[in-house]
Amino acid sequence: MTFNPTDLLAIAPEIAVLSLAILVIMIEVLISRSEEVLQGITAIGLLAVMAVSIFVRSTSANVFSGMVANDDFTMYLKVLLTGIALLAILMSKDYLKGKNFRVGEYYTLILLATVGMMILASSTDLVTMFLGIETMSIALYALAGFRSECSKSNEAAMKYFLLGAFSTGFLLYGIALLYGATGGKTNFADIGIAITAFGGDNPAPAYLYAGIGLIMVGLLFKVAAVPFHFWSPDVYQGAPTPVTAFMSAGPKAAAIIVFLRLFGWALPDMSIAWQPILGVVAAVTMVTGNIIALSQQNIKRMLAYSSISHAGYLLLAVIAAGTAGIRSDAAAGMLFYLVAYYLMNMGAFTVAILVSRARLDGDYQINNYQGLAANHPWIAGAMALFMISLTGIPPTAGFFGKLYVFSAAVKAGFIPLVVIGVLASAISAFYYLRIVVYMYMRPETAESSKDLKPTPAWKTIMIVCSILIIYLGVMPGMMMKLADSSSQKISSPNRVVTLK
Amino acid sequence: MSNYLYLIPIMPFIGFLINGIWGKKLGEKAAGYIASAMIGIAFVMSVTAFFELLGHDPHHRVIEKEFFSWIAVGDLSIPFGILLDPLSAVMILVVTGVSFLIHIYSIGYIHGDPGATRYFAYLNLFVFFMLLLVLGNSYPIMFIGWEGVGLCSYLLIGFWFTDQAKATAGKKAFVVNRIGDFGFLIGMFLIYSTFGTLTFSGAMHGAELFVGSTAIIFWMTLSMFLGATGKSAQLPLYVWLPDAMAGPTPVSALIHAATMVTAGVYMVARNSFLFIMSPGTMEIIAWVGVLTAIFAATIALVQNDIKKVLAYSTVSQLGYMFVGVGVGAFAAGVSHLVTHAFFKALLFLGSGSVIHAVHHAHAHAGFKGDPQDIRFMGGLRSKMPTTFWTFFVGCIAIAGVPGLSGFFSKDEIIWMTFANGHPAIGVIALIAAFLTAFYMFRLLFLTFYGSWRGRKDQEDHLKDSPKVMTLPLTVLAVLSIIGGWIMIPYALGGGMQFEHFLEPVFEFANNFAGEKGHPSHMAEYSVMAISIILAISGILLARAWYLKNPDIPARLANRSKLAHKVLFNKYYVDEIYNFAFIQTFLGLGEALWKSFDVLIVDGIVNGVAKLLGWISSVVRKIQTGLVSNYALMMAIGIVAVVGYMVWKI
Amino acid sequence: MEVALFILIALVTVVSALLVIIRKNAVSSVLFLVLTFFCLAMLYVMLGAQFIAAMQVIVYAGAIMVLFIFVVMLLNLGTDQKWEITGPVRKWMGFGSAAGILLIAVLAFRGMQSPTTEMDTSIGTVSSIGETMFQSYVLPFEVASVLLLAAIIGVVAMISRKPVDATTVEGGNES
Repeated sequence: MTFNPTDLLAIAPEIAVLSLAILVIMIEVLISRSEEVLQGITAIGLLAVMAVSIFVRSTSANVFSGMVANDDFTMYLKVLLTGIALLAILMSKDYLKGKNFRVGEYYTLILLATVGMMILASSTDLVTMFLGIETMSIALYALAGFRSECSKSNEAAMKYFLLGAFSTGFLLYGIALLYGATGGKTNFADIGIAITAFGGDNPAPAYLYAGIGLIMVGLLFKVAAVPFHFWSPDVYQGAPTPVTAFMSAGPKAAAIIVFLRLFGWALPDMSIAWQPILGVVAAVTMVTGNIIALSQQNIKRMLAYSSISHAGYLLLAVIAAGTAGIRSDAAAGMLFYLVAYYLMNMGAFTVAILVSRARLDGDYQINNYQGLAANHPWIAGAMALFMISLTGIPPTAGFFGKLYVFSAAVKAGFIPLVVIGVLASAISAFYYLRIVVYMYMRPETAESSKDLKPTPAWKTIMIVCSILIIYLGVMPGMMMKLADSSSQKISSPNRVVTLK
Repeated sequence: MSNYLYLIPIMPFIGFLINGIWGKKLGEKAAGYIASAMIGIAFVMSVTAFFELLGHDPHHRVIEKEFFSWIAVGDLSIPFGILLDPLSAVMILVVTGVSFLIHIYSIGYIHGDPGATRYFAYLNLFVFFMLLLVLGNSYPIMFIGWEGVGLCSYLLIGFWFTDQAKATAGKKAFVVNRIGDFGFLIGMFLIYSTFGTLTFSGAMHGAELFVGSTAIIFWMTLSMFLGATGKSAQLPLYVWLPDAMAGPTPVSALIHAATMVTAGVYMVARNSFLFIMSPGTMEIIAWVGVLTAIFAATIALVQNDIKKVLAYSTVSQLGYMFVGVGVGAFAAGVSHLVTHAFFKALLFLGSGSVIHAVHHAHAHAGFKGDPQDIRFMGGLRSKMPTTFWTFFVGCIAIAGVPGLSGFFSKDEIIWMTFANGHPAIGVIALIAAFLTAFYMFRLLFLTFYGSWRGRKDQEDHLKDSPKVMTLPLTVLAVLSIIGGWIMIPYALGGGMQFEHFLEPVFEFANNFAGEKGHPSHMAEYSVMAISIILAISGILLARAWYLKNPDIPARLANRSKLAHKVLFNKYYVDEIYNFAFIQTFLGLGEALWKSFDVLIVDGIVNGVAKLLGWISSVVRKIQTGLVSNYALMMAIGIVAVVGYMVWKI
Repeated sequence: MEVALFILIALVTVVSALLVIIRKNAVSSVLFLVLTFFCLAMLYVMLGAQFIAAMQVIVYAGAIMVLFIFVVMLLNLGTDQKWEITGPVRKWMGFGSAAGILLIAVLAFRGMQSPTTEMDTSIGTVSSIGETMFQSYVLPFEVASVLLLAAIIGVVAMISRKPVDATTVEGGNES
């Protein structure tokens, strides 16, 4: 198929974010280095991108020869990813103040990572998937090391980069094996068709299985599932906090979505092979993530392990997607869960920044939350809400996210896994509530009575996240409907062969 | 009214909003009045709804209103709806009625506390969730209420968070409840996967048509019962309730005696159609109930804290309710729930009145002591006549003296254990009834009889509580007396109107269980007689030991030191749990963290190496050590994952 | 004949790639990398991908490696940089997992049959690559440029710092 100019409409959000990135860096170089200007442009630009994502559409289902999907589901994901970038940027403004960062590069890299995430989340081809992962990761490596004066940050970037490169090697090897085993296919739908040809006296070759396993490893690394999670606590702790918030929400969302697309749409016929092993990984991830989080004293590390365990819950949806007839339910559950997770995690990190800034030593110890409620009832209330939502207690968004994902897994018949998941989330109550106990039931200290000075940007994030969490917890119907109707129509276009 | 049913839970919610947002400006008095008024309105509406329901023909006493489609995705559709049937009508009457009285009482009790407005806001929020729990027409709504009341109870237990122990108690309550909620959730998932619906009526319909293995029903009901043991403080999850007494006393009365803790019983009753299909679960429920009843009763024998005694008594009485529903006598279980709400709320409020008075006496005398220790009370009968008389009524009601509410409801349960063929359970329940009478009267005698065992200067300051506190006591006392008169069994010439009212709700369960045959009135009379004799002898024994010869208990305790110590320390269950679960989990977390992170930071390997004494050289620069180790662990993971994939074929 | 040639080139590729990481001297590592790239180019030729082979030689073995060598020479890295893995247990675990991965790779190809289809000799020509790249693969092609942009900006951001002033101390020990 030849290139069709209207295809560009399908990637209009990506083009818009990329243009914004270039615009920001140009403005920094040529016009103004002011943090306010750069941030304002980025934020307004991202709002515009959201509008673009919703209103500018290409009607064709098959764009760019089946390299990316063009449907409502993808559109919602792009809005979500833009939203993640937007909150990360709002969070950054006052964080960067006096931090001696190169602001222009900082915003540009966040935007470029967002482009990568969008490509990744919408890819329906191994080639675009790989390029999306790499674009996203390279920008994140640099972002993780942005606090150049801090050795922890440099260490984080270095670790992330080395281990990321290591996992990329395996991912690429897996892609090559899959390509070979399916007779030269990289398109998800084509791979699915090629795989149906196996069976009977034409068994699937062993290296097809190996390829699937290696791709699985590469993606598990990106979502930080046990035992490929080692990088994440160190990187989360070392990276600048807004970047940590961004990393815990965006890349995870994009990677888990492509995981779902690949395994649910290209490899469902191989589910007998991959469902069990992925089930073990999910169970181990949920349990270890939550148990290790129990003993953390640093809130960034705690949230890192919590995000590992959330990746475990999300993997349940991927597993369910391998069962015939469940995959659109699983996709809908995942979309809802991602929205909920994004809101509560972003909110929690914002409070973490606020609290740590007021400390003399600027650290992130959980002790700092002692007696916070006495002087800052609203901030403490918001934090309590985020923690309750992360635990998955109704009526909050987190509860319905879990309910939705778990019920898809139940439908697919993975009841033991759901039991483990629910039990693991019961364990998680211990450490999430510890924060609440510290805030409400410990006497205040001289430190905690200090004014936290929340700036308008931070206030906005906390208010927006809180309201949306409660709204989704009380009236989840509309969002669920959106998630459901859009996932019923997920398209996975075929490659149309054009070579002469 | 039926169109406005949703207003019943909304009222307390409005109260919560007003007090939560403007409470500080309104001040303590106004906050108390607003909170009470909101509950009052809800109560009046509940009464109206009740009479409207009564106007229907007995078999059409169901009002189910769906207000809007709450969640509708694919084949899952959960309407936001309210279900008013005889069971939920009884529950909303109890919840709004008792909490109205407790709100009024609180105005006096919490007077002068700087957090009073916060207190009323939480209390209103609690009632909102509780009403949601009993009125919801589907499992998710019930679950929201279920979690919501847990949250409020947690907030209210930790209300005086200046005290570290109290904050810890709040957390304990919440965490133990989470374990129970885990069961509820699993049960809910199983119901959804089996019946494809989450509304009560849908599940009931599904149960009617259900064919296939009852194993799934067993697991479903067992998981839900696990939820009930958490919320209703049964073995093995009862440990949080005694600690929950750290909260203000009216809170103990409302949440930890009359309403929230009975949610588990309500849940089993609401799902009678499922539970009855699994005889295995029913057997487990009945046994857990009766063992809890006797277990908690023995602990209550030797406690010295007035509220602790009542707390263990609550655990024990809840056990009775589970015995009732466990042997298939759902109506009897609910009857006991209702009467227990009256007399236990009365007893708690009475104890609150005592604590209030003793506390003030202590304060006046400049004495810092535990105002809840009954060893330093006594002779309060003359000082606090109203409190005494109402407390006395509560004691005889719970002890099972004929004619009062507790007698009819408890006796019905004990009788049903025999009638439905569980004589062993019945015998244990009878022994527990004897212990109940004993420990309640021990409490009564030590508190109100004899002479004041504190200091003289305190005694002069003892006085009865204000009207705003004694009035609710009086109302509850009257209810404790007459509340059982609609439950009088046929054998005594009564009409059992209450049971008949509830009958339509349990129709499915009763039909499923089939006709049990009619044992003679004679048998019923003899069970009744035994239970009366046991109750009276319990009272008399307490009188002999604590009133006539107060040195007997001490001598007895001395003679059997071990038994006393074990009972006094509550069988060391807390210590065992702490060791077995909390320490293990924390240790595991620490160990996993160390092994996954720290140990790998320095290497599992280095650790092993150290152990073997191989290490002598330098620990390398930390970065390189870290990354190569992480990569090593990843490589092992890759071997496992890909190896499995290749091996599998 | 073809098979023998393939095996020879493949062996040289693997050995020189191993030497890249085994050699302690940076310059000789880089030179072995050049050799690896040349061997890869030869393999491409054998697959009929002449254009890619030429690109491999010009871009990688030529331009990029020259840069590498310059950097190595300028930084004057000595041979004293030891990257030894400490501890015998860890060493054995490392060997074990590497051997495991190798074993799996071998196992994965058990029972593999050589492809039966005729090789399309025109696939490596400039025109067919150009057509593919700018038609079906136009999006990945453009995304690759975004990737490079991100890499450039990332590197610039990491190496060029604003001058440190007094205010940076705050938050320095954040961790």
